[in-house]
Amino acid sequence: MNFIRIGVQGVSGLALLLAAAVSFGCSSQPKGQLSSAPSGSVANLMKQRGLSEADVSAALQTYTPTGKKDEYYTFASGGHGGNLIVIGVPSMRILKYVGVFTPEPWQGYGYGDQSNEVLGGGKRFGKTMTWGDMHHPALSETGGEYDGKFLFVNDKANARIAVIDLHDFVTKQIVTSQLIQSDHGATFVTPNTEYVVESSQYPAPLGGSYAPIEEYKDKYRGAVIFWKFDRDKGRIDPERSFAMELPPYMQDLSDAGKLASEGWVFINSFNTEMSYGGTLEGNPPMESGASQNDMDYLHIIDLVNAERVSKEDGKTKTIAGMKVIPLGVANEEGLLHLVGEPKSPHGVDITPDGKELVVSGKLDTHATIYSWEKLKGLIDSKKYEGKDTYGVPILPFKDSIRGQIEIGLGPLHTQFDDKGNAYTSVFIESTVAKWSVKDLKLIGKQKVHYNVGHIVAAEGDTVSPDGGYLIAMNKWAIDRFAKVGPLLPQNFQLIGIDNDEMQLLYDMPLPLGEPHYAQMIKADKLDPIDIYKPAGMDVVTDEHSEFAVKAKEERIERKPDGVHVYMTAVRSHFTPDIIRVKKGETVHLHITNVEQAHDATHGFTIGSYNVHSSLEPGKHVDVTFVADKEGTFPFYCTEFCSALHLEMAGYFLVEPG
Amino acid sequence: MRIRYVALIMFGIGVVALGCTPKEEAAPAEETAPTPVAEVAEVAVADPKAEAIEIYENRCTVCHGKLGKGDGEGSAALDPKPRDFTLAEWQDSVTDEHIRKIIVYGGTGVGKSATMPANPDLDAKPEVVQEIVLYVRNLAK
Repeated sequence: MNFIRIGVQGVSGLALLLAAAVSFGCSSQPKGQLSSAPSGSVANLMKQRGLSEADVSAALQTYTPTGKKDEYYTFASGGHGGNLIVIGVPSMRILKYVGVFTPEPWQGYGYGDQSNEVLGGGKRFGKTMTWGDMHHPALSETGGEYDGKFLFVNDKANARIAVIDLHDFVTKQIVTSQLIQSDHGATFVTPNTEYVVESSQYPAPLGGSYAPIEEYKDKYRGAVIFWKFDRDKGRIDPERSFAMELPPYMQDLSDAGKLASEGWVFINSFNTEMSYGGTLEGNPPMESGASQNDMDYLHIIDLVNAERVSKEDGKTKTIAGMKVIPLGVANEEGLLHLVGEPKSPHGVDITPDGKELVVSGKLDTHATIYSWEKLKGLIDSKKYEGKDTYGVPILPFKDSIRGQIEIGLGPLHTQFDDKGNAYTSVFIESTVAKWSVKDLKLIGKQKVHYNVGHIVAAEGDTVSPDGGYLIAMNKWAIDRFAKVGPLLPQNFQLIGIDNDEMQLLYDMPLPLGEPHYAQMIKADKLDPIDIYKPAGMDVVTDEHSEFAVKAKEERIERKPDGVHVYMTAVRSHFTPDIIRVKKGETVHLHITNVEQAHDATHGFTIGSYNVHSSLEPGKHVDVTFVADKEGTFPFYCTEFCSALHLEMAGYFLVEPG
Repeated sequence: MRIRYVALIMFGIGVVALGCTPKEEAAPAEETAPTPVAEVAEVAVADPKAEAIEIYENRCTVCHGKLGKGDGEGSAALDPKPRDFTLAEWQDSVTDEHIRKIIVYGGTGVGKSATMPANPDLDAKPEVVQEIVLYVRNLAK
């Protein structure tokens, strides 16, 4: 599985050697070749396409011939596209989009009963959201290692959390709590995926009620929700989940402690000034109001004891159906501490050994390295430099850190490799900085294009990072690709990191929202299924559907709640292929793809009725709708399934009522 | 995919060409079955027999039935009905090559019904196809 990774220096002369060898072997090149297509020896190809040795080196490290599989999967958030993107590394080939927070027609996601129920789990104020702002995917972990079983991801705009099962890459559950009105410190999992962490970003009255903005300091609050994950069921259990009230700072990214710091959760924040804007009302704009202080606060939460307290009588109150530990109780129980962090911090990333925390401030040129041993000592000895407005103890900054390293302009997020190095994205400079964690010494920088946000290294936030590859997730592409109008794709840049000198390997335009974070997992940790077996599976419950249809048992039944159509799909026909209903009747389609052949997927649509299903082999779907338009509506298979695919069709006849 | 279309076009050209020859001289459809225009790189398979059995069970039984009698669940609405592999008369009438082509290229590959789909990925796994042929042969025993 291991691809050969070679640096620029390692291949110096390799391309020319190859060129010479291939050229020698192909000396009888026919004259009169079409000049428009590069052809011939490697040397000719390089000349015709204007490629350097470094380009050839990069190509050799990323080109993946047909049939060869990638070494890693990268799961990237789809940003405001709302859906998950699966990418192979090093080829950077897109392998799949997974419908999560946004209806996705290819998969029939949001166009049938099962997936609508999933989306319905994320209703806010009684309304199903049809878009999401996906930010941070988190793979399930066992012992701090990705285990390849599940993936969680958040929707910042609507404070939703989704669970995707990696045995079939399908979204199984969306949960939300009106306790908070947005989230950003999500999703992050504890080292054995006991909890999925979601912290709010923009403070609001807890529970979603109204309060005048002038009462911000009194009535507005942040909160962190610890969603309990039931691994056996593969679902979040809201009943066993709980939350903690936080001061009305703008909580930002978070990370769960591991190994030495396991059992603790760390959340950055900005806007300790508690600015709330109001430019037309004589107040400073949020951006300057929130950037007055030199230090903001890193939140340190004792999760083990918070869990204990959440189960004690009288220690919690219920808000919007969520059990919440109030700030006062958190202070009394010593569950929450703050420590200063410079300035407008963004990422907090725990080192692989769990012994240190790296915090980067957007408006500070340094990365600050906190010692967990020092922090824990200060907490245990109750050595505080004061308390904040809400009575939360503040640990002394200078006694908490091991040191700082000057990174550059606008450091954001940090990942790690297998050689003791850290990599930090540097937004304003558009670089990735490589530095030694032990020596706090800068090793080098790689220019990226442009405005890098998150970075992801191979298993780079686990207890044992792999090294090898890193992807810079650049917000802007500007001049990197052929023009496509004013709205440009993001630019994912693959970087080889095994040598001291990093090497840019590949540019991948990603035109689907703004991917924020991603995680990269070794491909052999996943073992997805090929087909649903036996046929008739409900892919949301992962159980055989009570409405599953067997061949020879197809039928149309009229019941008090409407017309039930029990249909099968097999190359190249639907049975039944004529459906007769009367206008106004409710139609319940129950469709099973009875095939068990790998990749023998069918689609199903009825024109003008906004119905679409994807029917992978063995999958069952239910679709309910009202036949509110009389007329003659063809239905057909939307996947080119066989030589007689176009004939895989029928008629949905709606007679006058 | 492109190879397949090229093959079909060549097959079409062959059919047109045959149309210009006396009927009795025209080769049976099986002889003009599409032939790949490019060699397919074979894929090594650790246990061709095991893979053949798995493929038969997943892909074939839906229509042909577990015992190969052509009575699988998916056969209900098919016309013509799937082949009954247990019939000695049919087994005696076809060569292994005929069965191989039908497995890889589907019914159209030998001038039969297109409702028998192709299995394009098996082109590169001749050992597996041979094991499926043997499996089909054994269903009559």
